[in-house]
Amino acid sequence: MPSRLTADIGGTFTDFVLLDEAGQMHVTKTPSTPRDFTKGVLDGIHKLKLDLRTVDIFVHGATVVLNALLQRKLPKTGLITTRGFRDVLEIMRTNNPEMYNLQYVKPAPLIARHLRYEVTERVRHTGEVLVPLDRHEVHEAARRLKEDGAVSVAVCLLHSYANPVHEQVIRDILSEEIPEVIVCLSSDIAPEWREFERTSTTTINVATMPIIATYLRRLEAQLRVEGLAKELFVMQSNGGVMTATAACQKPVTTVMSGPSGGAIGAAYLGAQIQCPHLITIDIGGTSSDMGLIVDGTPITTTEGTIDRWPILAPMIEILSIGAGGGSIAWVDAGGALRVGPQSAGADPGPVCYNLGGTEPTVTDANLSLGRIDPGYFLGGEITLNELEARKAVQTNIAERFSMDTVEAADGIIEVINANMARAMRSILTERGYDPREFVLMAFGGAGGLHAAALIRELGIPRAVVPSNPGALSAVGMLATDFRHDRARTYVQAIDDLDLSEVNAIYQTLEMQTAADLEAESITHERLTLMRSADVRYVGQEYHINLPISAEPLKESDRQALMRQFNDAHEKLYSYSTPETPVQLVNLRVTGLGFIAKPQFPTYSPGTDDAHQAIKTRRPVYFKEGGGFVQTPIYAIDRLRPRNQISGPGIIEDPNSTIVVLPGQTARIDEFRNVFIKEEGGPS
Amino acid sequence: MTTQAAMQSRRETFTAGVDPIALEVMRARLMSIVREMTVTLYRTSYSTIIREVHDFSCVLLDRQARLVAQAEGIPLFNGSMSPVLEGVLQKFPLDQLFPGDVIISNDPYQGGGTHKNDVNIVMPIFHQGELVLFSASKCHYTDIGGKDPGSWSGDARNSFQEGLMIPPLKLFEGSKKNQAVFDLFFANIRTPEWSRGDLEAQIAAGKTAERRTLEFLDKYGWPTVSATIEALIDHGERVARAHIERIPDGVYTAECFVDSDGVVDEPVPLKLAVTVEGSNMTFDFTGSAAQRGGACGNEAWVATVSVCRETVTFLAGASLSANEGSYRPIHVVAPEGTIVRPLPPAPLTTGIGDVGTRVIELILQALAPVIPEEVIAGTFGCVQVMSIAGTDPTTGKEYLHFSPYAGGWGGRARYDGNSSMVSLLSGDNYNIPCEVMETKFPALLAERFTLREGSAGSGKHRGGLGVSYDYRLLTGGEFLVSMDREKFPPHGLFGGKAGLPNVTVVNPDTPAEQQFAKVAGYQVNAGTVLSHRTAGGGGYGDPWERDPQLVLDDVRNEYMSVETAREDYGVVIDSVRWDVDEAETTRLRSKARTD
Repeated sequence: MPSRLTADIGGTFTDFVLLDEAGQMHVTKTPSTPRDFTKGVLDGIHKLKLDLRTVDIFVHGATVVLNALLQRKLPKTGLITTRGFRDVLEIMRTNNPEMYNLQYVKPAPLIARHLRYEVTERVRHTGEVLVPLDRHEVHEAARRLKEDGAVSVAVCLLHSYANPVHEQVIRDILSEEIPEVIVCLSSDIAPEWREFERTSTTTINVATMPIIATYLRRLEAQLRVEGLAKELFVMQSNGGVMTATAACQKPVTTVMSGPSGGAIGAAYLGAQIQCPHLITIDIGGTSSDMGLIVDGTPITTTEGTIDRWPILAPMIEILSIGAGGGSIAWVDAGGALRVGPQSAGADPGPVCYNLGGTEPTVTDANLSLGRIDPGYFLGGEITLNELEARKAVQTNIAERFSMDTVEAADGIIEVINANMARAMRSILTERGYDPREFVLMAFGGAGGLHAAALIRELGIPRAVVPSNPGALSAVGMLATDFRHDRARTYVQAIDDLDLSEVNAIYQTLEMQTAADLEAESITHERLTLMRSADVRYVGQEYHINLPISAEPLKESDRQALMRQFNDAHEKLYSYSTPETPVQLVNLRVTGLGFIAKPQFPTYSPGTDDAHQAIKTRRPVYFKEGGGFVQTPIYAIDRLRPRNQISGPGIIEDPNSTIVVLPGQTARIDEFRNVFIKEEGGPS
Repeated sequence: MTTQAAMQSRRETFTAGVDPIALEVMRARLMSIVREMTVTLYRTSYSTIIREVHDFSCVLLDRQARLVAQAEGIPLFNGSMSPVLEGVLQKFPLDQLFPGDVIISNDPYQGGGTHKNDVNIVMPIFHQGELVLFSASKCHYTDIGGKDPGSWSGDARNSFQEGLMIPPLKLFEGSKKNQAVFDLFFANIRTPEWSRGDLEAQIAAGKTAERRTLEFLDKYGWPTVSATIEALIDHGERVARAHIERIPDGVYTAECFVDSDGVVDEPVPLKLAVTVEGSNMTFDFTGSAAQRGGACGNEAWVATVSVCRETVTFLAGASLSANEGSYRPIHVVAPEGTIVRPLPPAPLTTGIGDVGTRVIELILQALAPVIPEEVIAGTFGCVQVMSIAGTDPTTGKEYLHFSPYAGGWGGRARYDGNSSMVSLLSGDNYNIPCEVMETKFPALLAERFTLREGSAGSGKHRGGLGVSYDYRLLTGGEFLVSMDREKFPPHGLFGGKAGLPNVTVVNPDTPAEQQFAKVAGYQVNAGTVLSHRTAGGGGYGDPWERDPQLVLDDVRNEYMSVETAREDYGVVIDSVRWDVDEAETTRLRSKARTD
C-alpha cells in the first residue's frame, strides 16, 4: 500500500504519524517552532529517519492561518463594496458579547476604514440589478488601492450571492488595473446571505492567502530538497484534505485544521472499535476541545467563529472551553473555589514545572493527589516538583478553606471536571442526544486523567482512551478523504419551488465540486457527491440541514421533504407544527474523494490478568477510596489485549496518564485502547 | 490565620454543610439547565426579534420566587424575573399550582411585568409530587395589540393604548390546554403567526428545563440541591457585598432630563441619590418628576428596581454569580406616583428602555467621582425604535419591521467608547442583516448602513460613533419613531464633550426634508427615505490630552473632520501627507493652555 505521512502542528508539539508500505504505524513528536514552523516539521522527519522519496501522500495540519488571524498579523487588505455599506465589517452585528463588562473593547476591524471603498451599484435579493455598476468608480478605487499599497482586496457587494455579475466585473477591472494584487469575490468564497458574515469570510480568505502561500511554498521547497516527489496536502476544517495549491486559494477553510484531524481520527478509530456514537474531548494545556460523532460522522456546522470573526464554511463543530492542565485554581470574591479559564499556559506553566509559576493549576492538583508520577512526565523528559505543587495548593486554596491539601487538590479536580461536564452535557442535550447512547473518547495529553470521572458525572456508560492519545489528530489526517463544499442561498417556500431551477442549481454546484476534486486527481470512481439543503419553517430563523437525494426533485418530493423536516424538528426540539409552511434557505453540495484507510496495529492477546504490566505501586488519593490508597501502576506497553484492571489503577504511557477510579474496571482491546466503565455496568 | 478563626470563616462561608466544591459542581448543573432552555427557545422561535436579536431571558426560581440561576440574556430582563413569579403566586398560591400548569402574564402593574410586549411564561416543576422550583422565560413579542403597529407608542396617554393586558392566567391547567386564553390572545395582536411560534418556543423551553431539573434532582435529591441553592444565594450576596465595599462610603447625587414624555414636549427631570454604607447600597429617586401622561416618561417599578440591580452587576462584572443573593445589599426607594414608580393606568411601554437606560447612566454619573476607572460616559440611549409598517408588494399582506438600533457608547478611563453597539440594557442583541431584512420585507430597500461620521463626543478617550440607517420604502406605508437623547445628547465626563444627538430625517437632502425624534402613525408615500441616525457616545477626559497620532488615525479614517481635529483636539493635520503638523499642534495646544 502507498506510504503516508502526517504532521500536525499544535501549540506545544508537532505530532507525526507515518504509515509505511507494510502498513506499520510509526509515531513521534517534536517541539513546535512558532518562529518558523517548517523547522519543527523537518526536525520530525529527521527524527523518523525518513526518506521522503518513499512517501506517497503527505498530509499537513497547518495552523498558520489561525495564528495569523489570532495575532492579527495580516497584510494590508482593501475592500470594495456597495455604496452605503462601507462599514459592515466594523459595525459587525452590534451585539455586546460581554454584556456585564463596561470595559469591553470591540475588535479593531480586519480592514481599516480608509482602505474600504464604495462603488455605486445595487442588486436586489432576487438577483435583479436595480442600479448598474459604475465602472468609472471601480477604476478610481483600484488606483487608490494601489496608492494605499494594498496587497489583497476583498470584493463584497450586497446580495452578490443572488447575482455575482457586478463582483465579476470588478474583478476584471482590478486584474487589469492592479494585476499584482490578490482579489477574492464574496460570491466565490461564500455565496450565502448575511452581509457581515460573508464580508468577514471573504476578508479572512483574501488576507491570509499571501500568508499560507509563503508558508506552504517554503515548506514544499524544503520537502522537495528532502526528496518529496508527490504533492503536499493540507487538512481542512471540514474534515477533508485538499492540495496545497487548493489551500492557497481557500485558506479560510483551513482555520480548524488540527481539531478537525482529531475528530476524523476519533471517528475512524470509533469505526474500528464498533463505537459509532462518540463524544470526544481533547484536553490540552490551556483548553479542552469537544466534539460529537454520530453514526460514525463528526457533527459539522455551516459556519464558525474565530475570535469574534464569523466564517461561512462548513467545519467540524468543535466547542473549546478554557479548561486544561494549566488552568489556574482561585478563590472568588464570595469565597467560592473557581478553576480557569485563566491558564498558566506553557510559560510559566504549572508550579511543578519549576519555571516560575506560583498559582496552583490542575496539573499541580493531579500531582498532589499522586495521579501523575513526577519522575515520568513526558516519559521522564521533565522532572516535576511535587513539593512546590503541594505548597501552592496549600497556601492558595487549602488554607483559605481550612481544608487538607489533598482535599483541596481533589476539589480542584472536581471543579474542573464539573466545568468540562457542563460543556459536554450541553453539546449532547442541545442536539437532543441521550448521554447513555454515547462512548466518551478522551485524548490529548490530559484526556486520560479526567475520562473516568467524566463518565461518572455525565452518566455515560463507557470511556475509551486511545493508544497514543496525543497523536490522534495526526492519525486522523491519515484517514482523511478529499473534500470540497459548495453552497448557494436560495430562499423559497417548498410549495412555491421551481423544481427545475433547484435541480439546475444542484447540477451546477455538483459540477463545480467535481471539478475541484478532479483538479486534485481524484478519479471518477473514487468520487461521491452529496446534496443537502438548509430547511426551516417560513418565518423561523434557525434552519436544519437535511440530506437531499441525488435524483432530480419531482412533485412528490415536496411532501416528502416537508415530512422529513417535521420529523427532524420533532426529534431536535420535541415539537413540530406540520401546518406551517416550510422553506428552503441554502442548497449545498459536498464532494468526497475517497482514499484507502490505514490499519491500526494489533497486539497479541493475553488473559484477563494484567499483573504482568504492574511496574510499581504508589499511594494515590481517591475520595471514593477514603483517602490515599496503595495503587498499582501499569505500563501501557506491557498491557495486552483482554487484560482487565479493577480500579483504582493508573496506566502510564510516556505521554499521558490514565486514571481508573475505585468502582470502575478497565479493559484493553486488540489495538491497546483502554476502555473504562463502571463495575457491573453495561459494556 | 488561627485554626479557630479559619473554622469560623469557613462556617460563615458555607451554609448547611455545603462545601465550596459541591457549590461549583451544582452551579455548573444549574447553569446547564438555564443554558439549555435558552438554546431551545431561540432555535425554535419564529420571530426575527427572538432569533436574530435574542430579545429574551430564561431563569430558574425557587418557591419563594427567588432567582436561582439565569442564562446569559438581556440585562434588563435578568433582574426582573422574581417579581413575575411573585405576581403569579399572588393569584395562584402554591397549593393552587399543579403539574402541567403553564402560566402566562405581562401585566406591568399587578403581574410584576416589565412592559406589555414582554410576555412571561412560568411553569412549576414538581419532583416526587412536591413543587420544588419554577422555570420562567420572558420574550419580547413584536406586537401585543394597542394603537400602533409594534405596540411601541411614544405618545400613548394610558396603558390601554399600549395593547393587551394579561394578568397571570393558566394557559394549561394540569396539562389541559385553556383554548379560550389562546384564542383571546391571538385575536388581539397583529402578528399571530410569529407569536404562535414564539409561545410554543417558550413552552418548549420550560419543558426542557423541567426535564433536566428532574434528572438533576433524581441524582442528588431535593434536600441536597435545596441546601446548595441556599449556599449559592449566600455566595451571590457575598460577591455583591465584596464589590460594594470597594466603593467609598458616602452619598452621591446626580440628575438629568429625559427629552420629553412623548405627549407634552418638555424635559422630564430625573433625580438620584446613591448612598453607599459599608456593603449596602441605596438608590433613592425622591425628587424625580411625578408620573407623566405620555409613555416616554414612565418606567415600570419592576424595571427601575431591575436596572439598579443590574448596574451593581455591571460594576461587579460578575454575571455568573448573579442570583437573588446578589440583590440583597441593594435597596431602591421611590415615592409611588413618580416616573420611576408610576401607578396604573400610566403608559410606560417606550419609557422602560429610555428611562431605564437613563437610570443606569445616572448611577454611573453619580459614582464617577469615586470610581472614575470603572464608569463610562453617556451612551446613545436605548433601542431608539423606528418601526415601519405597510403592505408587502409580493404577497399583499401587512408587514411590520421592528428592530433595535445600535449607537455609540461613552469613552472610558482607558479606552475610547465602542461604536455601533446595542444599548446597556440589551446585551447580546444582534442587528437584522440588511440582506435578511430585504428578503423578509421586499417593500424596504436599505440604502445606507454606515457609521455616522462626526458623531462621537470628543475626549481624551472619545465616544463611539453612532450609525446611519437609510431605508427607502418602495410602497407607501407608515412609520413610528421614539427617540430619546435628541434634546439632551450623550454627556461627556471629566472634560469630554457630548456626542451628536439621535434624530430621524425623512427624505434627507431634498426640499421635503423633515426631522423627527418622536412621531407615531406617520403616513408616507412610496419612494420615501427614512434616515435613522443614532447618537455618538460622550467623550471621557480633556480632548486636548488625546494622543495626536490617534487624532490623525480618526481623521484619516473619516471618523471626524480636519476641522474637528483642530477645534476640539488642538491637533493640526496635514491631509496631503497624512501627518500631524507637530509644530503647529504644539503651538495651538500651548496657546489654549495659557488662554
